[in-house]
Amino acid sequence: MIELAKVLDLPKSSLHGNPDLIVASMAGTILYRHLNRLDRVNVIQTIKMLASFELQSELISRCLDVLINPQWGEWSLKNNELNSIVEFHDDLNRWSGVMGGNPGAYGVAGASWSIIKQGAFTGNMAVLAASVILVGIHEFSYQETQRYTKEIERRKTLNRGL
Amino acid sequence: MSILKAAVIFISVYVALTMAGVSINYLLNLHPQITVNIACTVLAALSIRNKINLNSMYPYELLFFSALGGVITVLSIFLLSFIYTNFSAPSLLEALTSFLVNAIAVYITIYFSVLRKS
Repeated sequence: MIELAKVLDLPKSSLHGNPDLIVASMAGTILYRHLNRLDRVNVIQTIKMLASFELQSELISRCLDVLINPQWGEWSLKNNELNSIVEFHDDLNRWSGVMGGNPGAYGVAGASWSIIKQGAFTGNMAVLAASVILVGIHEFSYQETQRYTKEIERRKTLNRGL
Repeated sequence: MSILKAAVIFISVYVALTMAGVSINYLLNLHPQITVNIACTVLAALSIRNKINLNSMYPYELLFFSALGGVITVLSIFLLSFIYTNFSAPSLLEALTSFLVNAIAVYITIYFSVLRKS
C-alpha cells in the first residue's frame, strides 16, 4: 500500500480506512486510462467508498489528470510510451548538442551585456529572450528525461523483485 | 597571410570558447552539459570580421570561413566525444547537419557584420 502511495505521490496521512479498498482504488487509478468505460465507473465507485475524503479527491483528480494529459502521471504510461518519450528527449538533446542549438550561458550573458552596454533594443532583447527560452526548453527536457528514466528504472526493479 | 592569421584566430577562439562553454555548463549545471555551441560559432566569426574584405573580389573568403566554421564544429564534436565517454561521436548525418548549420551561421554572421561595418 505504501509503495503504491509513493508511486501516486499521495500523502501518507490520507491512507486510513480499509487497506484492501485503498489498494484496489490506487491500482484502479493507475490503470484508469487503459480501462473501458464500465471499468472506469467501477474504479470511481470504489474510490467513492473510501473513508478518507482527502484520498478520494486525490485519486479522482489523478484519474482525470491522466485523461487530460497522460504525461502528467508517468505511472499511467505503458512501457513503450515511456520509452518513446525518453527517446524523443534524448534525440532532442543529442541534435541540439551536435548542432549547437543551445546558446546557453553565452547567449544570456552576451545579450545581457549588450543591453547594459548599448541599451535595450529589439535585437538584443530578442537574443536574450531566445537564449532564455532555449535554456528553459533544454532544462525542461532534461528534467522530463530524468523523471521518465526514474520511472523506467523503478519498473525494472519491480520486475526483478517479482 | 591575412587569411591564414584569421583562420588561426577563428580556430583558437572557437575551440577555447567551446571548451569554456562545457566547463560553464558543468559549473552552472546546464543541460546538455557536453555540447558545441552556436554562440561560439557566432563569437568566433565576429572575432575575424575585420580581417575580411567582401568588396575586394569574389567573396571566396566568406565561403572559406563558412566551410572552416562547419569543419571546426564537426572536429570539435569528435574532440568532445574523445574527451567525454558519455558523449558519442557523430554519425555521418549528424556531422553533415552540424557542418551545414554552423557554416550557415558563420556566413550570416560575417556577411551582416561586414555589411553593417561598410
